[in-house]
Amino acid sequence: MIHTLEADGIQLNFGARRILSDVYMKCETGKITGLLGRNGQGKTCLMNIILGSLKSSISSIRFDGEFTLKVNTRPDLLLYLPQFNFIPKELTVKQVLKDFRLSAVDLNNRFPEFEGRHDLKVQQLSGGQWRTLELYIVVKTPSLFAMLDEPFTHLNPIQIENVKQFLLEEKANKGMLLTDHMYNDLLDVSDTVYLLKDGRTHPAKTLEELEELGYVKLP
Amino acid sequence: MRTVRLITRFYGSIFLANFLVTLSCIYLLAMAGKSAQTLVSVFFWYKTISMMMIFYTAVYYKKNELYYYQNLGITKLKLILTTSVFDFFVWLIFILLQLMTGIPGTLFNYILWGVLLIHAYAYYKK
Repeated sequence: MIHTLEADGIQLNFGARRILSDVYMKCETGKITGLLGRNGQGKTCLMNIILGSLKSSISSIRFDGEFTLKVNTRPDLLLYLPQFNFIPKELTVKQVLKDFRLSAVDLNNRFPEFEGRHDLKVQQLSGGQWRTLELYIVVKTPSLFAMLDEPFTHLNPIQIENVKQFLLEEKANKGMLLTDHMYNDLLDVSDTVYLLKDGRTHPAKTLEELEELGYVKLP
Repeated sequence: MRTVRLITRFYGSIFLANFLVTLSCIYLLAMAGKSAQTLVSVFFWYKTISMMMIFYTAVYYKKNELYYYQNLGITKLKLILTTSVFDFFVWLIFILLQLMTGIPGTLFNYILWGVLLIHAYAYYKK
Protein backbone atom coordinates (compact mmCIF):
# COMPACT_ATOMS: atom_id res chain seq x y z
CA MET A 1 0.00 0.00 0.00
CA ILE A 2 1.27 3.45 -0.92
CA HIS A 3 1.09 6.08 1.83
CA THR A 4 1.10 9.80 1.17
CA LEU A 5 2.30 12.85 3.04
CA GLU A 6 0.92 16.15 1.80
CA ALA A 7 1.81 19.64 2.92
CA ASP A 8 -0.80 22.00 1.62
CA GLY A 9 -1.53 25.73 1.70
CA ILE A 10 1.39 26.52 3.96
CA GLN A 11 1.96 30.16 4.77
CA LEU A 12 4.70 31.47 7.00
CA ASN A 13 5.47 35.06 7.93
CA PHE A 14 8.28 36.44 10.06
CA GLY A 15 6.87 39.83 10.98
CA ALA A 16 6.05 41.63 7.75
CA ARG A 17 8.27 39.31 5.70
CA ARG A 18 6.50 36.47 3.96
CA ILE A 19 8.69 33.35 3.82
CA LEU A 20 6.24 30.77 2.49
CA SER A 21 2.98 31.39 0.69
CA ASP A 22 0.63 28.73 -0.51
CA VAL A 23 3.14 25.86 -0.61
CA TYR A 24 1.99 22.46 -1.81
CA MET A 25 4.10 19.32 -1.70
CA LYS A 26 3.38 15.62 -1.87
CA CYS A 27 5.56 12.68 -0.83
CA GLU A 28 4.80 9.02 -1.33
CA THR A 29 6.23 5.87 0.20
CA GLY A 30 8.58 4.15 -2.20
CA LYS A 31 9.74 7.48 -3.61
CA ILE A 32 12.31 10.13 -2.80
CA THR A 33 11.11 13.70 -3.06
CA GLY A 34 13.81 16.35 -3.44
CA LEU A 35 13.46 19.91 -2.23
CA LEU A 36 15.82 22.54 -3.58
CA GLY A 37 16.08 26.23 -2.85
CA ARG A 38 18.57 28.96 -2.19
CA ASN A 39 19.58 29.92 1.33
CA GLY A 40 16.81 31.61 3.26
CA GLN A 41 14.02 30.41 0.99
CA GLY A 42 12.44 28.43 3.84
CA LYS A 43 13.39 24.79 3.23
CA THR A 44 14.17 24.05 6.86
CA CYS A 45 11.18 26.12 7.99
CA LEU A 46 8.95 24.04 5.73
CA MET A 47 10.33 20.84 7.27
CA ASN A 48 9.76 22.18 10.76
CA ILE A 49 6.19 23.11 9.86
CA ILE A 50 5.58 19.59 8.55
CA LEU A 51 7.10 18.24 11.76
CA GLY A 52 4.88 20.48 13.86
CA SER A 53 7.73 22.19 15.70
CA LEU A 54 7.17 25.52 13.91
CA LYS A 55 3.77 27.15 13.82
CA SER A 56 2.62 28.70 10.58
CA SER A 57 -0.32 31.01 10.02
CA ILE A 58 -2.00 28.50 7.69
CA SER A 59 -1.03 24.90 7.09
CA SER A 60 -2.49 21.51 6.44
CA ILE A 61 -0.36 18.42 6.95
CA ARG A 62 -2.07 15.24 5.83
CA PHE A 63 -1.01 11.63 6.10
CA ASP A 64 -3.05 9.44 3.75
CA GLY A 65 -5.47 12.34 3.41
CA GLU A 66 -6.00 12.70 7.16
CA PHE A 67 -5.22 16.04 8.75
CA THR A 68 -2.46 15.45 11.34
CA LEU A 69 -1.23 17.78 14.07
CA LYS A 70 1.96 17.50 16.13
CA VAL A 71 3.73 15.05 13.87
CA ASN A 72 6.80 15.41 16.10
CA THR A 73 5.05 13.16 18.64
CA ARG A 74 4.61 10.40 16.03
CA PRO A 75 7.94 8.79 15.10
CA ASP A 76 5.95 5.97 13.53
CA LEU A 77 4.81 8.48 10.89
CA LEU A 78 7.83 10.69 10.40
CA LEU A 79 11.47 10.80 11.46
CA TYR A 80 13.66 13.84 11.04
CA LEU A 81 17.35 14.28 10.29
CA PRO A 82 18.17 17.90 11.13
CA GLN A 83 21.01 19.68 9.33
CA PHE A 84 23.18 19.63 12.47
CA ASN A 85 24.47 16.71 14.55
CA PHE A 86 21.80 15.55 16.96
CA ILE A 87 23.15 12.37 18.57
CA PRO A 88 24.42 13.19 22.09
CA LYS A 89 28.20 13.15 21.73
CA GLU A 90 28.86 11.04 24.83
CA LEU A 91 26.90 8.04 23.49
CA THR A 92 28.67 5.10 21.91
CA VAL A 93 27.66 3.69 18.52
CA LYS A 94 26.47 0.57 20.36
CA GLN A 95 24.19 2.61 22.66
CA VAL A 96 22.71 4.50 19.72
CA LEU A 97 21.92 1.27 17.87
CA LYS A 98 20.39 -0.18 21.05
CA ASP A 99 18.21 2.92 21.55
CA PHE A 100 16.86 2.65 18.01
CA ARG A 101 16.72 -1.16 18.14
CA LEU A 102 18.87 -1.52 15.05
CA SER A 103 21.24 -4.30 14.12
CA ALA A 104 24.98 -3.75 14.45
CA VAL A 105 25.63 -6.43 11.82
CA ASP A 106 23.44 -4.63 9.32
CA LEU A 107 25.27 -1.35 9.93
CA ASN A 108 28.61 -3.09 9.34
CA ASN A 109 27.32 -4.70 6.16
CA ARG A 110 26.02 -1.43 4.77
CA PHE A 111 28.84 0.81 5.98
CA PRO A 112 31.96 -1.34 6.61
CA GLU A 113 33.89 1.64 8.03
CA PHE A 114 31.98 1.08 11.30
CA GLU A 115 33.52 -2.37 11.77
CA GLY A 116 35.27 -2.43 15.16
CA ARG A 117 34.09 1.07 16.04
CA HIS A 118 30.93 0.25 17.95
CA ASP A 119 32.49 0.96 21.34
CA LEU A 120 33.59 4.43 20.29
CA LYS A 121 31.65 7.49 21.35
CA VAL A 122 30.13 9.36 18.45
CA GLN A 123 32.39 12.33 19.19
CA GLN A 124 35.35 10.03 18.50
CA LEU A 125 34.07 9.26 14.99
CA SER A 126 34.97 11.42 12.02
CA GLY A 127 32.45 14.08 10.98
CA GLY A 128 31.44 11.96 7.99
CA GLN A 129 30.94 8.81 10.08
CA TRP A 130 28.92 10.73 12.67
CA ARG A 131 26.67 12.05 9.89
CA THR A 132 26.41 8.63 8.25
CA LEU A 133 25.34 7.09 11.56
CA GLU A 134 22.65 9.75 12.01
CA LEU A 135 21.40 9.20 8.50
CA TYR A 136 21.44 5.43 9.01
CA ILE A 137 19.28 5.50 12.16
CA VAL A 138 16.75 7.91 10.66
CA VAL A 139 16.40 5.94 7.44
CA LYS A 140 16.53 2.44 8.99
CA THR A 141 14.19 2.99 11.96
CA PRO A 142 10.69 1.90 10.94
CA SER A 143 8.40 4.83 10.03
CA LEU A 144 6.31 5.81 7.03
CA PHE A 145 8.41 8.82 6.08
CA ALA A 146 11.78 10.41 6.79
CA MET A 147 12.79 14.02 6.26
CA LEU A 148 16.48 14.51 5.61
CA ASP A 149 17.86 18.03 5.89
CA GLU A 150 21.25 18.25 4.16
CA PRO A 151 22.17 14.56 4.46
CA PHE A 152 25.29 14.94 2.28
CA THR A 153 26.89 17.57 4.52
CA HIS A 154 30.24 16.49 6.07
CA LEU A 155 30.48 13.52 3.68
CA ASN A 156 33.35 12.85 1.30
CA PRO A 157 32.59 11.86 -2.34
CA ILE A 158 32.87 8.12 -1.65
CA GLN A 159 30.59 8.37 1.36
CA ILE A 160 28.11 10.38 -0.71
CA GLU A 161 27.97 7.63 -3.34
CA ASN A 162 27.45 5.01 -0.58
CA VAL A 163 24.70 7.09 1.00
CA LYS A 164 22.98 7.60 -2.35
CA GLN A 165 23.01 3.85 -2.94
CA PHE A 166 21.70 3.30 0.59
CA LEU A 167 18.84 5.77 0.04
CA LEU A 168 17.88 4.16 -3.25
CA GLU A 169 17.78 0.74 -1.57
CA GLU A 170 15.82 1.96 1.44
CA LYS A 171 13.20 3.96 -0.44
CA ALA A 172 11.31 0.69 -0.90
CA ASN A 173 10.59 0.82 2.86
CA LYS A 174 9.53 4.43 3.29
CA GLY A 175 8.98 7.78 1.63
CA MET A 176 11.73 10.37 1.92
CA LEU A 177 11.82 14.12 1.67
CA LEU A 178 15.35 15.28 1.07
CA THR A 179 16.87 18.73 0.83
CA ASP A 180 20.48 19.60 0.10
CA HIS A 181 22.54 22.20 -1.75
CA MET A 182 24.35 19.44 -3.65
CA TYR A 183 21.71 19.46 -6.36
CA ASN A 184 23.42 16.98 -8.68
CA ASP A 185 23.40 14.31 -5.99
CA LEU A 186 19.85 15.20 -5.04
CA LEU A 187 18.67 14.97 -8.66
CA ASP A 188 20.38 11.56 -8.98
CA VAL A 189 18.28 9.97 -6.23
CA SER A 190 15.00 11.91 -6.38
CA ASP A 191 11.87 10.75 -8.15
CA THR A 192 10.18 14.12 -7.78
CA VAL A 193 11.83 17.49 -7.20
CA TYR A 194 10.39 20.76 -5.99
CA LEU A 195 12.20 24.07 -6.12
CA LEU A 196 11.30 26.49 -3.37
CA LYS A 197 11.43 30.01 -4.78
CA ASP A 198 9.68 33.22 -3.77
CA GLY A 199 7.76 31.32 -1.10
CA ARG A 200 6.26 28.80 -3.52
CA THR A 201 7.11 25.27 -4.64
CA HIS A 202 7.79 24.76 -8.33
CA PRO A 203 7.99 21.20 -9.69
CA ALA A 204 11.26 20.63 -11.56
CA LYS A 205 13.20 17.55 -12.49
CA THR A 206 15.99 18.45 -14.89
CA LEU A 207 18.89 20.87 -14.72
CA GLU A 208 17.38 22.81 -17.62
CA GLU A 209 14.17 23.35 -15.67
CA LEU A 210 16.20 24.46 -12.65
CA GLU A 211 18.08 26.91 -14.87
CA GLU A 212 14.82 28.29 -16.23
CA LEU A 213 13.68 28.86 -12.66
CA GLY A 214 16.94 30.68 -11.93
CA TYR A 215 18.36 28.17 -9.42
CA VAL A 216 21.47 27.13 -11.39
CA LYS A 217 23.59 28.59 -14.17
CA LEU A 218 24.62 26.03 -16.75
CA PRO A 219 27.83 26.54 -18.75
CA MET B 1 11.72 0.25 29.50
CA ARG B 2 13.49 2.11 26.70
CA THR B 3 11.58 5.30 27.53
CA VAL B 4 12.60 5.06 31.18
CA ARG B 5 16.23 4.51 30.18
CA LEU B 6 16.21 7.54 27.88
CA ILE B 7 14.53 9.82 30.40
CA THR B 8 16.96 8.66 33.10
CA ARG B 9 19.86 9.45 30.79
CA PHE B 10 18.57 12.97 30.22
CA TYR B 11 17.95 13.44 33.94
CA GLY B 12 21.47 12.24 34.69
CA SER B 13 22.87 15.15 32.71
CA ILE B 14 21.13 17.72 34.93
CA PHE B 15 21.05 15.75 38.17
CA LEU B 16 24.01 17.40 39.88
CA ALA B 17 22.73 20.96 39.59
CA ASN B 18 19.27 19.99 40.80
CA PHE B 19 20.59 17.84 43.62
CA LEU B 20 22.87 20.58 44.87
CA VAL B 21 19.85 22.87 45.16
CA THR B 22 17.95 20.17 47.05
CA LEU B 23 20.88 19.55 49.34
CA SER B 24 21.34 23.24 50.04
CA CYS B 25 17.65 23.49 51.02
CA ILE B 26 18.04 20.63 53.49
CA TYR B 27 21.27 21.96 54.86
CA LEU B 28 19.68 25.37 55.50
CA LEU B 29 16.68 23.66 57.09
CA ALA B 30 19.03 21.72 59.35
CA MET B 31 20.74 24.97 60.32
CA ALA B 32 17.38 26.68 61.00
CA GLY B 33 16.63 24.32 63.91
CA LYS B 34 13.24 24.92 65.55
CA SER B 35 12.13 27.60 63.08
CA ALA B 36 12.63 25.21 60.14
CA GLN B 37 8.90 24.68 59.46
CA THR B 38 8.30 28.38 58.86
CA LEU B 39 10.96 28.40 56.14
CA VAL B 40 9.56 25.56 54.03
CA SER B 41 7.56 27.90 51.74
CA VAL B 42 10.70 29.97 51.10
CA PHE B 43 12.61 26.85 50.14
CA PHE B 44 9.71 25.71 47.97
CA TRP B 45 10.03 28.84 45.83
CA TYR B 46 13.82 28.65 45.92
CA LYS B 47 13.64 25.09 44.59
CA THR B 48 10.94 25.85 41.99
CA ILE B 49 12.69 28.90 40.53
CA SER B 50 16.12 27.29 40.45
CA MET B 51 14.62 24.17 38.87
CA MET B 52 13.03 26.28 36.12
CA MET B 53 16.35 28.01 35.48
CA ILE B 54 18.24 24.71 35.34
CA PHE B 55 15.74 23.17 32.91
CA TYR B 56 15.72 26.30 30.74
CA THR B 57 19.54 26.21 30.54
CA ALA B 58 19.56 22.47 29.84
CA VAL B 59 17.03 22.78 27.01
CA TYR B 60 18.91 25.76 25.56
CA TYR B 61 22.27 23.98 25.52
CA LYS B 62 20.87 20.60 24.50
CA LYS B 63 18.38 21.79 21.89
CA ASN B 64 20.06 19.80 19.10
CA GLU B 65 20.03 16.62 21.19
CA LEU B 66 16.30 16.96 21.75
CA TYR B 67 15.79 15.72 18.16
CA TYR B 68 17.41 12.45 19.24
CA TYR B 69 14.76 11.95 21.91
CA GLN B 70 12.04 13.19 19.55
CA ASN B 71 12.96 10.58 16.95
CA LEU B 72 12.54 8.02 19.73
CA GLY B 73 9.07 9.31 20.58
CA ILE B 74 9.97 11.43 23.60
CA THR B 75 9.04 15.05 23.13
CA LYS B 76 10.68 18.00 24.84
CA LEU B 77 7.57 18.50 26.98
CA LYS B 78 7.57 14.87 28.09
CA LEU B 79 11.27 15.01 29.00
CA ILE B 80 10.90 18.19 31.02
CA LEU B 81 7.68 17.21 32.75
CA THR B 82 8.78 13.74 33.83
CA THR B 83 12.22 14.79 35.04
CA SER B 84 10.99 17.92 36.84
CA VAL B 85 8.16 16.04 38.60
CA PHE B 86 10.62 13.33 39.67
CA ASP B 87 13.16 15.89 40.84
CA PHE B 88 10.52 17.75 42.80
CA PHE B 89 9.52 14.54 44.56
CA VAL B 90 13.16 13.87 45.45
CA TRP B 91 13.26 17.35 47.00
CA LEU B 92 9.96 16.79 48.83
CA ILE B 93 11.07 13.44 50.28
CA PHE B 94 14.34 14.93 51.55
CA ILE B 95 12.54 17.93 53.04
CA LEU B 96 9.99 15.71 54.83
CA LEU B 97 12.77 13.43 56.08
CA GLN B 98 14.63 16.43 57.40
CA LEU B 99 11.57 17.87 59.10
CA MET B 100 10.67 14.53 60.70
CA THR B 101 14.10 13.33 61.75
CA GLY B 102 16.12 16.53 62.11
CA ILE B 103 19.25 15.12 60.51
CA PRO B 104 22.27 17.21 61.55
CA GLY B 105 23.69 19.56 58.91
CA THR B 106 27.14 17.95 59.05
CA LEU B 107 25.70 14.74 57.62
CA PHE B 108 24.64 16.68 54.52
CA ASN B 109 28.18 17.89 54.14
CA TYR B 110 29.25 14.26 53.80
CA ILE B 111 26.42 13.54 51.31
CA LEU B 112 27.44 16.61 49.30
CA TRP B 113 31.05 15.50 49.12
CA GLY B 114 29.97 11.98 48.21
CA VAL B 115 27.81 13.22 45.32
CA LEU B 116 30.51 15.56 44.09
CA LEU B 117 33.09 12.76 44.11
CA ILE B 118 30.76 10.37 42.27
CA HIS B 119 30.08 13.03 39.65
CA ALA B 120 33.75 13.88 39.29
CA TYR B 121 34.46 10.18 38.75
CA ALA B 122 31.61 9.87 36.20
CA TYR B 123 32.88 12.98 34.38
CA TYR B 124 36.43 11.55 34.34
CA LYS B 125 35.10 8.26 32.92
CA LYS B 126 33.33 10.16 30.09
